[in-house]
Amino acid sequence: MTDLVMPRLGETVTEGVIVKWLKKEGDFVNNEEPVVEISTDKIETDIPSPAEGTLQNIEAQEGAKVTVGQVIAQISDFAKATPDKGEAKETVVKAVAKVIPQKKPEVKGVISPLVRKLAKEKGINLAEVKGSGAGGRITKDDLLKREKGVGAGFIPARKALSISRQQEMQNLLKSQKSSAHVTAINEADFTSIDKLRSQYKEIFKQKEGFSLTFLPFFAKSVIQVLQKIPVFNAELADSELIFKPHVNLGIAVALPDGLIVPVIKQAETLSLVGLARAINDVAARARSSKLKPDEVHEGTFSITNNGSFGSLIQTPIIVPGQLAILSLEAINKRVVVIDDAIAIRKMAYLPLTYDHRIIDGSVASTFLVELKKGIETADFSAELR
Amino acid sequence: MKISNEQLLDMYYHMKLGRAVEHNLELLYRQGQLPGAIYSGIGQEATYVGAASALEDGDALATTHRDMAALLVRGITPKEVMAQHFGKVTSPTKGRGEDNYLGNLSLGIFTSVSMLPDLYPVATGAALYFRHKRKNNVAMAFCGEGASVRGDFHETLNWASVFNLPVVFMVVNNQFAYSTPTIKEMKIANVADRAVCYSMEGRVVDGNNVNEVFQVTKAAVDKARNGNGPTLIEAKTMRMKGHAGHDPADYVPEQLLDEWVRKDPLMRFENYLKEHNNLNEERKSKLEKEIEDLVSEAISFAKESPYPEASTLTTGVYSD
Amino acid sequence: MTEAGVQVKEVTYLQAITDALALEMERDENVMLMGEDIGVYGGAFKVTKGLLEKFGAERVIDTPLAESALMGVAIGAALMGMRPVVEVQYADFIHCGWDQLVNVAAKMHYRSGDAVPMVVRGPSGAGLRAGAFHSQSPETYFAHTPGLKVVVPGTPYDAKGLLISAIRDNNPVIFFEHKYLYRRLKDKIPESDYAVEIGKAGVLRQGNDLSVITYGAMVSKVLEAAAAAAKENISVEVLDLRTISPLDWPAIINTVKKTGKAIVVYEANYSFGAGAEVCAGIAERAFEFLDGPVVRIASADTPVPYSPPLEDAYLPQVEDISAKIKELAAY
Repeated sequence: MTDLVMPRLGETVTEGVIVKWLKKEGDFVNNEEPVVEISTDKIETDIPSPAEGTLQNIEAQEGAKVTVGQVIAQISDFAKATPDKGEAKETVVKAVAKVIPQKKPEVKGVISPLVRKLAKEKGINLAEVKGSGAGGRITKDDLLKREKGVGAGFIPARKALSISRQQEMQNLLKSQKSSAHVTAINEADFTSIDKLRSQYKEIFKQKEGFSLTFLPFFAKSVIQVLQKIPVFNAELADSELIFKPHVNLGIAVALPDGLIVPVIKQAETLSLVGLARAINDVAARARSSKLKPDEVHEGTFSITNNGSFGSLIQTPIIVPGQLAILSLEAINKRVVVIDDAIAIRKMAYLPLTYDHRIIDGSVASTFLVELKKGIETADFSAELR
Repeated sequence: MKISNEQLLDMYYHMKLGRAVEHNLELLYRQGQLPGAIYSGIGQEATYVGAASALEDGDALATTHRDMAALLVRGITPKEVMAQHFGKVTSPTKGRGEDNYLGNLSLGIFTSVSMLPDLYPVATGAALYFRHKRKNNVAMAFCGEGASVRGDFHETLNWASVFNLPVVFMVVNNQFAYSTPTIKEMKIANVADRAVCYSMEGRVVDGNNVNEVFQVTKAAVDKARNGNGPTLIEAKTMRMKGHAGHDPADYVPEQLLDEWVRKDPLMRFENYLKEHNNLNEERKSKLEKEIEDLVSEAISFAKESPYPEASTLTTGVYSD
Repeated sequence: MTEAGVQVKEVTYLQAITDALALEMERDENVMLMGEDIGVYGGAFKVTKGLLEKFGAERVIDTPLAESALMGVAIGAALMGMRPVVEVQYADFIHCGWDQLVNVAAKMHYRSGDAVPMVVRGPSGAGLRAGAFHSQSPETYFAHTPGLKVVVPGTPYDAKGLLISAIRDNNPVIFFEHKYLYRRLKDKIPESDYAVEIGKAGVLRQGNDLSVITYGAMVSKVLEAAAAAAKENISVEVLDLRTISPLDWPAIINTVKKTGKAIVVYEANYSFGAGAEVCAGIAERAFEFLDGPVVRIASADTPVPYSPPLEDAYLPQVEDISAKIKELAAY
């Protein structure tokens, strides 16, 4: 079967019209015999038959518009004398490249003119920018995102974690996973301690060579309550509570890359001044990395001075192996009610995080109430004269 | 055709003027005073002056590098010619055009180019314009015999004849196209014989006889003006100097030169005028003095004129 | 029909050109047409169909087959005051009148101050299986010649407006109309006369990621590639130069400033093409705004071949443009 196709009678011609079929379906046509008259706006002509055979399957009638290349009829082969030529293989010729293929440029490290200009304008250090372009190149977008501090293009500063930090990480997680942390909060009036401290500040400094802070007063008060409610000074060992004879008080010290909790052993034996000295000593040695290894072990209860950094309330994490930790928060002047009258007192919140597996809420609350009383009513003046 | 005395003297004046300007240009060139080249038309004055004198107001003229005398007839001044050769801003091309490529469109004169005969069709375009606007004008175009074997010559003559345009084609056969003698440029004996190929009238004239040139050209110009189409006129003459100022033209046989020295158009015309009582010595001296003053004035003008400013280089590439 | 208060009509790119010629010939009696087969036959592509009947044989002249004379005669008529619009039957044949255009027309005003207000129209471009002498894009040769202006409209609107501007321009303007676009592009354009300024490019599509700068028949292909790119979230800006000489440098630099990346697409041969000038100019004038290499896509450096697979391989196709867009966007 041979197709009779609408020819292209002019480079810009795209369609034509069937004027008249010179043969009808079923007619025999000779090779090159005119079969149909067509017209385009440029020319009127007839189409000669491309084959010898019978005209069949007229697709377009007279007056119909046909597009160039459209099959308008078919001529069936008269006799299959010649064998099938077979599917003509289309040879696609790879012609000369009309687009010069770009040699993949070594772009890692390539700074385009625009990137250089923008980096200079925005004061961005290109070494800090991670490129998302080809080959890892920094693009304009990378810079714009970097400026916004967004995702790709922003390399955060890297810092290796110290061993101590890594250990602390482990400890904190261990503590959180093993204990049932609950934090009870109360507040205490530090006004009288504050007065006392102010009173003895100068003399103390002259005598001892370091400043008298609130912490020794606090520590002393805590130790007193620990002795009254010893469960806070106990150790949990499997299903047994071991009540420790001594108060090995851990003092949390903030270091540049973490926290360390050196322990003042047998702190219950120390006077206020003794405590002050001990605290000062461990803190100093902690900060200058001069603590002895066993000085961070065997603590029974810890206190942390979050208030020194201005914290109002925190919920500290218990040091592993202990059952509670107590924070001294910021001492601020606050309006309080005393005897139904408004007064201004130096108040501080005291968050106590305890292990609820062992210590119940009522016990924790009692602890704090006792502590509060101790802080507010204790007379430390004797120890300072 | 009887040529009036006035016309004769006018032609004589222009031939002498042309000769004087050319002569001085040669001197200036040899003295190294010119930045560029000269293309001398000395010895061909009769062709240029005779033909150009046949034109009238409003007619168009297209010339080539050698045809200065024709330009002078149609109103280009010696000052302009000198300023042009010196490359000064006071030239009609403001220093942008070299040697004789200068014109004045208000006088119907086109500014020429080196490719020859490129202005043949341009002149024919002017003729088309005249026809279209029903003007009674004629265009005249010059070219050499060498140029006549280039394509534009044939395309143009064919075109002009098909449209029957009012144009007169002058071929100045000065026997050498640079170093190439005519016999190497074409097989045909006369360029004018080609006219038959275009169904055009072709005339051969003695290019060194200004009277003859004038008469034949005038007839052709009139014919065109009357709507009877184009004519091809071949003026036989001789290039007396080299192709350009640098060219000693050793390839020209000496006898040939000698032969044509004796046919010098200016000398011939002077003799003719004397013979026919058109020119007396007094008149001649007066004319010569006038021309001398004119030319030296022109040279001073050119020398004193400023060069174009470099800052103006890129102006005028396009018209507004 | 009226759109936004303007009488518009849907026409093909070809009809837009015919309209421009008719309107200008009506407006100015000095406008005349010259070319082979333009009168009685209406032109090889029928662009001048009907104009002989409308304006007469003195203004629509069927010329002998002599392009050099044709150019020269047009120059002469223009110098004297006519405004001839010359048609070369195929742009390829403009080379037969090359000398006149480049040595006489282009240089006339600079040297003499005499203007040559003529237009040469050439049906240019490939894609029609017409072979090496009926398919060329010769704009570069003329763009390289000071004194000539060269325009290459890519849309029916521009074809009409630019031709009107060309006819009104007092300089020799070469107008390359792309024959592939003749009947394939249709658009609604104003019925009245209007001028598109010569030397002004146009942003046909706004974008942010990269600019594709192009002209002529490539405009349609570029727009197609840009639309496809949008589906892949690549925002392509398309600038149609419209005029090759003089180039609209402010428009070119603006789009490069905006996106930082440029592809120049043109149908002429790759090497030394008009697009190469655009690339060079971008590198010179907008270096600091570039965030990627300036690349070209153009036809192969061969004569235009006849056989369909060869011609298709010769020409830039939409796939080539799309691939380059993707590549450059990722750079």
